Amino acid sequence: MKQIPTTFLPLSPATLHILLSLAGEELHGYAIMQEVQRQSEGKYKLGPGTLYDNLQKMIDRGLVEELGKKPGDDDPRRRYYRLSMLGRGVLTAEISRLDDVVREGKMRLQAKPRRA
Amino acid sequence: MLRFLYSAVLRAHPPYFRERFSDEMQAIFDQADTDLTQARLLADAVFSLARQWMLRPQFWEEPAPVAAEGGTALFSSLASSKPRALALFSGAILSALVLNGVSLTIGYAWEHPIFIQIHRPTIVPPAAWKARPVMKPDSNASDEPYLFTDQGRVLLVFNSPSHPSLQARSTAKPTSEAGMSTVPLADIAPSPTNNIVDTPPVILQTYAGTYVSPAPAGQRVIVTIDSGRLQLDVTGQFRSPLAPLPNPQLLACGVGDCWVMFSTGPKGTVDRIEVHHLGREMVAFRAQSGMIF
Repeated sequence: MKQIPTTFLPLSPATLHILLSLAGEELHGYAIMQEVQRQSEGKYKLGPGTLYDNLQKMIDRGLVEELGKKPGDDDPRRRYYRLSMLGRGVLTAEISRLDDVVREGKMRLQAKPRRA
Repeated sequence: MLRFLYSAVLRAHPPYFRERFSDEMQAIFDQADTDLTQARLLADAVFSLARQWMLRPQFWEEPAPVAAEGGTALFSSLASSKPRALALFSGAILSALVLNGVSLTIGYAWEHPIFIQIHRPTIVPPAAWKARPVMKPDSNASDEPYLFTDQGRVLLVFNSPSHPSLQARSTAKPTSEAGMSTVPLADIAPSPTNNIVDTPPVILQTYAGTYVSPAPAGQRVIVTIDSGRLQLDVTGQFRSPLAPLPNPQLLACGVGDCWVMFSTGPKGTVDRIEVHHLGREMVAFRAQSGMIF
């Protein structure tokens, strides 16, 4: 059964950041944590417990796929994850929604406030 | 230390989560370079542990496959109905702890009735019981065991004719022409200053020694002679002088509600002691040379 991306919206900050970090390339857990920290300029730090709890849910919903271990990696315990087609669609829908929110917010903030 | 704790917390996670992610979480922890970072990761793991057990019951076990490719139904075997060995072991330990806790509580409450009001009935013996017979010194002690009471307690004393103390007593003076006399019940009362019988030191010497109780295991009872008087030392509990009573194997303590009885073994030597103290009875046996406590 085909799932509609908009039914997953809105995303939690952790889910959004994880999907964003996986949008470019497949990453292992530690790299996802570092990428999230880089995206938020150090303001949002994701702990392993939160990361893997969200990854577990996203894998279960089909947003993320687990690729397993890669031969030749520095640490053989690492597993890699990538965005699924559904995950990419959900991320696109969420970015679009946020874009609308930002546009609407800017428009309202630029307008002069009416006096009561 | 932190790594050990972190591994322990990871092992406590639900099985499905642990199988999938614990190796990676451990790898991330191993990359932490400072103690502060490791402590933060440990706190994060503790929160994760609570979150997984309380909020994610759907991920405790691996979900069973519903259908194979092509729509063919898959059948999976159910888990064994037998309880897991770990669950049985945990249950046994928990049961033992609860049982010990209840036993200790009851014992503590008995000794400290302020917490639980335990009513101890007081039985007053009839006036006719206020005297007890004393064996005729030259009679055969094994002829008839005698009975006397102490504040409602019935005590049976079986004399051993082979005990040297009895032989020594057979040389003592008779107490009356009838061969039987009455001694107040207070003789058995725990006051070594009353009705002390003059027992030859050679007999007292047969009582002296170290005795070991099997229950409580290893409890030592030491009987010594000090200035011609027996001294009882129940290690770790109390010390008291012992005063021989008319029955040569029965001795009263200098502390309240306490008396002691010695018994002889097949060889005729004193090798057993019973200590009755505050309504409790403890049996100890003479320690053999070479025993290790």
